[in-house]
Amino acid sequence: MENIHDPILRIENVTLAFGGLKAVNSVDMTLEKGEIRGLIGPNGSGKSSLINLISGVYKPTSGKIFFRNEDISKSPPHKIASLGICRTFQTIRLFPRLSVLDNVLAGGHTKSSANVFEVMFRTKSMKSEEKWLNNRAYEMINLVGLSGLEGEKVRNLPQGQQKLLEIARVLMAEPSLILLDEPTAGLSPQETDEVSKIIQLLKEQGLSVILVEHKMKFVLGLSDSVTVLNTGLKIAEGTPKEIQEKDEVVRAYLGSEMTDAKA
Amino acid sequence: MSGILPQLLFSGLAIGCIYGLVGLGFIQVYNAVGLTNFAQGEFVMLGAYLFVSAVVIWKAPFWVGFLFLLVGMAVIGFLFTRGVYKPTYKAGRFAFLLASVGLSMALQDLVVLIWGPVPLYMPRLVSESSFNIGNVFINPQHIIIIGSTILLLIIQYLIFQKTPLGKMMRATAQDQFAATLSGIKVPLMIIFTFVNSSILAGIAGFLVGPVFSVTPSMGASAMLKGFVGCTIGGWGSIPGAVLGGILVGIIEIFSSFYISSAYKDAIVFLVLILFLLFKPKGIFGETVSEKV
Amino acid sequence: MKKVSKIIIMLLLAIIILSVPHLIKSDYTLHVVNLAGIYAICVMGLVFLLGFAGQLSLGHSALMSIGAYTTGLLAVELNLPFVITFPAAIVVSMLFALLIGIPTLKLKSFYLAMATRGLNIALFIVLINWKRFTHGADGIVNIPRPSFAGFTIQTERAWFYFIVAILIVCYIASRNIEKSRIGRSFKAVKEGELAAEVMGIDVYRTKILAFVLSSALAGTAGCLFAHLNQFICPNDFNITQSVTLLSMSIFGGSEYLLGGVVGAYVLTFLPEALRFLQTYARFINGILILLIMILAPSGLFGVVSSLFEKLKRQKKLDPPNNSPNIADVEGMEN
Repeated sequence: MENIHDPILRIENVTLAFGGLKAVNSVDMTLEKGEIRGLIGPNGSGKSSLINLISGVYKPTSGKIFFRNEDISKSPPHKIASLGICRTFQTIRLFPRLSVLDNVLAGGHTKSSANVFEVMFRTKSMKSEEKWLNNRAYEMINLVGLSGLEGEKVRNLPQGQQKLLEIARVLMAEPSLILLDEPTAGLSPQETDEVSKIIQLLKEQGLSVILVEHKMKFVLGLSDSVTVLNTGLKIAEGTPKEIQEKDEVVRAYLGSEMTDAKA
Repeated sequence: MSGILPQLLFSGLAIGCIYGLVGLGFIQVYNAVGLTNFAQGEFVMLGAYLFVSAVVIWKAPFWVGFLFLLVGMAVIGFLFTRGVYKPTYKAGRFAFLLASVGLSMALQDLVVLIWGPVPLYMPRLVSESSFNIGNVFINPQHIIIIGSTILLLIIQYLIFQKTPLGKMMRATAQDQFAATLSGIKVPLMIIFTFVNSSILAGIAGFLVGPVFSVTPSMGASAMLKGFVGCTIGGWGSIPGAVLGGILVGIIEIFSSFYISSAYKDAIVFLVLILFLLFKPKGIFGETVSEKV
Repeated sequence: MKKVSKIIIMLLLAIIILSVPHLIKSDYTLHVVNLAGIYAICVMGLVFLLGFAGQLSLGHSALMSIGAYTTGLLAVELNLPFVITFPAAIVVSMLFALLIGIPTLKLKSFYLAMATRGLNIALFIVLINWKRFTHGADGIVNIPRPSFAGFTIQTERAWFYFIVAILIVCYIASRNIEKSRIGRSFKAVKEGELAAEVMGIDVYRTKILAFVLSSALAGTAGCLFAHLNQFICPNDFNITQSVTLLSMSIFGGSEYLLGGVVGAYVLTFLPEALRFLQTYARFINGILILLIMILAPSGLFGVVSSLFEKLKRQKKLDPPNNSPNIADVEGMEN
């Protein structure tokens, strides 16, 4: 049974191997409810692989992943999504030929349940469900600052707006855990601020977030705690402050990146 | 009764070689550009018609007819790349597939317009009468088919493994981007791949012509069986395509003897569905689920 | 304002539809109109599958034949009434779609294409050869006209209204599905399977649902075909017919239900108008598909809608402030 104080996500000794290469190597990680966790590490350190494991895109070679005490390590991605874990992608994966509104509405799939017959005959419950979805979609679009673009085809939007739209689509599903894979990659400073405000808002609402990022100032400023990966291994974990002080982290990764970030 | 088994096996092997050649053409194109060419069967039919028109209608000598077939199929392969592949491969996931379906239908009718609907007779290299080894009756054309297929496979092997051209074609099939970076002219290699696969189909038509009659629809069923062969062998695997095709031929001959010749194509279809259900990766399995 | 113009358009459409059978004097022409209506129902099914969910069937006439033979055999051999054979036809075609969909839709998309073509070939062979059950190449004759409470749909004119009524019902149902979570899940699967999957859409089941719904429409069309012609034979449902259905859907624009309907009517009448070219029908059809795929793969409706989109964008770019139009937003919420 789930307990209020139980962690929302528990990763136990998870390994992901491609042939001989271990993209993720015996990683343990625990995420509390309402926590924002930064996931950092150099390129190829296994951050995105870990996100793919949690969201079910990859299956762990060994080890287990629990979401609210339920073993999800063998569940298909759509099942995991319906449990309340939603994610964005490092490279944008929207539905380019659909409108902004339809993209966000599609994100609400798990929040609706009308079956074929109900939608064919547009029953009362189906209509009120659609109305709810529509209202929420407009809210979410408004939240990420894209109001007025509802009818626009996504492929006509600039990249920054597409990144924001992806966040709106994820929020549509009312997830309890959100995995953001480099949400600010390719964004302008203003847009990055926008994303940072949204994440703060999510935290206020009690959502848990795993944040993969390269922009150090951004990730250290937002996270409650940070996990550092290198070549698939977890090399450090702690508060942003602790992490910045750890020698091996600075040596492996932070040093160069920090100077980059300041530059 | 003891002679019937080897005899069925032998003719199944011969017919299967044809399907193997069709499947080989399928796989080469599939590996190179990730698409299936639904006009491949009609290329088989065109090969047979090209040869018949040269040898029977224009009374050309045998070898001239064969040369005509080779050149004709190369031209068709080239035109196909330029006219169908190039304008459609970027236009959505089914544009090329549908275009090749349209072409295959148009070609079947075009052949009727040019040569008429009556099945044509294809002259043979060897005598029509069967001979027997022990108590096994052998159709000489079957020996020709099996021998030529082996020869063709050796030639294909040599081209792809030993010549620079073949190596470049393989590099293209493996990774177009990397091939481009290492200076390979990828569009040219794709043309060569299509040309090669259409020549293979044309030769298959030339080989099978004397067994089946030469008709506009002769390629349609060969294509389906080539596809089933590829599925049995495992998509992406070249030996798989050939062996799978041979297996389909053997299944076909056995089922038409033991079950019913009228239903043989339906039985092959059943085999396809069973394979997809229980062994979708085929014998030489590769991943076949939609790429994520 | 918008509602009034909508009502006017509906009224006009109703008047046109009601007057068609009175304007067409020849029974033969009306019969062709009726056939086109039947094909339109089937083509909407293809739009579901190809245009919405991004899966290709090369054997939709086989699924039509399942509907036709189910209703034909039940009506002729067992004397069952239309109200029973019609739903039976739909259900059996849906079952066949399940049978083909379950093994193929987990795999790459060309497997469904090839398996449906295989079904087309295999079913044709079975229909021809299983004489005791299907009457072979002679087909099923004397299929009764459907009758409801003593009223029989006999004349071509009555058939016209009957078919248009079913077409409209099918259209509205399909349109409702398109504009719902299910339609959106179809389109999401077509646009990006991985993205759809991580949003909680079961991609495999969604594809199966699209194929089964598509087959239900094909079965409906097949059933109507059997009762309209009162005679069916295997050759009514060969591969050529499947490809013709496909070309109807891509001609109109495979992503638009109405495009499919328009495509069905145009491509049924085109060969009739070009009678002298009858012998080249397959050739022309094949070349037509080839040309559409090369020149305008999105079809008639696709070309028109992208023109509109361009115009709209130009209009939007003209005034510098890009503020949202409140009226538009409200209109969309309804």
